[in-house]
Amino acid sequence: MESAISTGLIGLSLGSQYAMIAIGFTLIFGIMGVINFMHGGGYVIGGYLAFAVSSGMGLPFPIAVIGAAIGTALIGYLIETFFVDKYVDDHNATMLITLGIYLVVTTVIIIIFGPEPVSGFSFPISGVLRWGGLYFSYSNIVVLVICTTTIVAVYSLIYRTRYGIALRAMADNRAIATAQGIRPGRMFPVAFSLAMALAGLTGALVTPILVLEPHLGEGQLLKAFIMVILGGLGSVAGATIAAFAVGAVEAYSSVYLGGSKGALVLFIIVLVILLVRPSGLLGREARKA
Amino acid sequence: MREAYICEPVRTPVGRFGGSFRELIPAHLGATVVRGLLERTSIPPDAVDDVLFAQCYPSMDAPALGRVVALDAGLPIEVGGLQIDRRCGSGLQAIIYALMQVESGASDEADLKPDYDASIESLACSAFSRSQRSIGVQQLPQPLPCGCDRWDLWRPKAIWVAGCGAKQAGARAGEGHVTSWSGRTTMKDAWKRFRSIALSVAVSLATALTPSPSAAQSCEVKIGAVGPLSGGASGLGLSAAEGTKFAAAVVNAEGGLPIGGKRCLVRVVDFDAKYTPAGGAAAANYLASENVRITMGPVGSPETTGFRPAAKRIGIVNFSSSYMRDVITPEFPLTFHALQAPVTWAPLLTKAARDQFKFDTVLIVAPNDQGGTDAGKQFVQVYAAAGVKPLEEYYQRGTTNFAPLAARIMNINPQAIEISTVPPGDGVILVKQLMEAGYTGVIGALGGVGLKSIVEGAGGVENLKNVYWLEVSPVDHPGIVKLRADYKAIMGKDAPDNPLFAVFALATEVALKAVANAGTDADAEKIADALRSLTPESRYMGKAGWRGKSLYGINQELTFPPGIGMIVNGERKTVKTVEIPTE
Repeated sequence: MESAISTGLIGLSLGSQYAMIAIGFTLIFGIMGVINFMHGGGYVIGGYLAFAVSSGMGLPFPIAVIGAAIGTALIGYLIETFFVDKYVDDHNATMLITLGIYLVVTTVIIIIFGPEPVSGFSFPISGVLRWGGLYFSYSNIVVLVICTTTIVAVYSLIYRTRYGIALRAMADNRAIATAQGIRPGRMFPVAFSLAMALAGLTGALVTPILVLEPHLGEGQLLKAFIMVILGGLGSVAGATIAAFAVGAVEAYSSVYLGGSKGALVLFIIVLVILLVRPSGLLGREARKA
Repeated sequence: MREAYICEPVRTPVGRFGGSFRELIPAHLGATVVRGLLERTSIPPDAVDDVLFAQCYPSMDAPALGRVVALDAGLPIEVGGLQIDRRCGSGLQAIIYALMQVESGASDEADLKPDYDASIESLACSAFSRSQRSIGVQQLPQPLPCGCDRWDLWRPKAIWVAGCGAKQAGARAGEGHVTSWSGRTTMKDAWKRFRSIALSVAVSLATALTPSPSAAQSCEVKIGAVGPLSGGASGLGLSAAEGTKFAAAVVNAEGGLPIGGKRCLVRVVDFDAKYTPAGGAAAANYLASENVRITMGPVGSPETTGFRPAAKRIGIVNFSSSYMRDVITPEFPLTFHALQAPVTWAPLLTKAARDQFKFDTVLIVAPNDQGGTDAGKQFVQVYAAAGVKPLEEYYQRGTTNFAPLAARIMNINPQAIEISTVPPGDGVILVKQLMEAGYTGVIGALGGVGLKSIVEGAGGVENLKNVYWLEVSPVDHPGIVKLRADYKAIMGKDAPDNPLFAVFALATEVALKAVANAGTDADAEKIADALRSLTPESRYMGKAGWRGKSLYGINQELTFPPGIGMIVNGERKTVKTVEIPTE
């Protein structure tokens, strides 16, 4: 029983981290129609920025995390403005552009920081909360709280503010939204920045707990694809639900079936759901505009 | 006369000059409205007879706005369009014309043949053209200084001044004023200029930095370095490549490799094989195109699988560090082994570990691809032969969070965990999360990942109780200590921590000796024969030998000794060198 509860806590922790990544990814797709292959790079950049600020500059970890999120947002803004914006209606071009940027970023990180995992970068809170056979590390508790708070904040932004309404209008029908005076030139860079900031914040929080190396982005991007497709392309709520579902499935299947079978179970579940509901849990059949 | 009715009025918001609609062309706005109107009214598109739009400033985007809007909105090609200009009264005039058409029956005689009429204007997208010098458009601060007599508001993003000779004035569209008269160039011009400057600088730098061989070293010996230089296993590949480059640098520092009475510069050609079979095959083909006939690497098992058939066909001697079964075999006579596989030294190391820590069960953890399972299966045999019950647990390569695996391991509750060929990055997380899960048993690392990952994962040596690990090169051996010091002195930076660095530094020393003995770097068979006939020797580790006949059927495995390290009850012991017998 304790094992099952501990596994559930692991799944919850994984789900919250995945949700941060997935929300950003689906936000960009929903609003801009861009499949952002650079999204995993945002996770890595966030980690390295936090590392540079905390270990390199000696600043407190919370400052490093905030700085990493802001820095990643700024990088996202620049990427969208200078590279993506011109080709935003060409899906193939934006995929290639963002993929190319990811490869360049990874190489630059290897040149500056080296290919091996960084050392001397750890979460400032250590220790494990133990209760009988249950255990949950304090670092994971902090990350879970921050991720959940951020997800709620993003939801409030999207569903309770005028800016969020504008974003959703752009996602719903860009032509009509534009005709109502909502300018893509303003919305797109900010949406891209927000998505990258979410990825960067996740990277800054999670990599000190796990490991920070230049090639983490690929795994994160793959997970983001799975969750966004499962939740429905363009659906923020769907991506969130899918993220927690994936976290739970991954945790329970890995613990009780083993690593290889665990991954297989996840893909089988995704396959079955897509056969029954091809648009994903909360997705639309076709993306408008 | 028929009666006409005006129904379903619909419009977009009204924007200001240079405001929210500055990026839109009028046809877009109009088409959006018409599409919306069709949806609201459910009127079939072919029921529309005419589309009348008021537009005072037609542009090349939509010279006949009514027609363009009709087509863009999806109305049939038979639907006409009209554009009306009566200045500020254009919109009303459009309505009047529509009423007249319907009431007079000028439209078709069907019961319901609506005309659509509308008014649209987008000043930001209008072209202004005047023949006078001073510009009468409101809000312009001053007339043009350059003697121009004409300027056009081109596209929404820019204003150009034409007819000014060399000067152009750029301005932001839609702002209602021209911001600069001083000949500021456009972004396009700036980009063109930057591109040509950057190209010139790049060419100059490339020319300046291309080394020209000195007269004393007019010949060159090429040696390849193949391994994963990117991706999750890049730590292995880059360290191996550095070992190769260091050995080459040592020879070059002494004047070059002696071949046929001359001293030749040794040049390392590296290739990223990405830890995949396809990468290995691509590496062989690439190096062949560069006339490289001896390589250090490939590093991993998947790369070796792809590399050696091509190497055999092309003729490339190669030193692999893979742990795969049959890493060397008579079928591939040009493949040598830079170190020994677990089956060679593991019996000695596992016995030593078991004697020290007294464990009866071991869980072998490894990635679930060839690189992990090959070694994993070997460890199963080795531990079983040592009287330890082996269990196996493989995980998906690419996993970043090992918390579920750690929980699973705690459920299994082994006395020892062997982290096998888990890459360094994975090893850090795995050990960390095992500690968090409460694991207090023995940790073994006979796959060559070294101690660093384990220490990092545990948060310091002081947190580790009982650990044993393989050092593929014994780090406390005076020769290896000197090797690392020489690397720092010659290369100007710290030596890589990964143990493959030393492995390939030593193997490259041997390989270059063979090239010198063979008198050529271009004949793989001669180089291979020279290797087989020489006694491997290193200035750092002394003499070694060859082995492999009994295990692989071919004696092409170097016997430079590995080492075993131990932490016993939290106390680190000196790494012991483990001598490997030659055959």
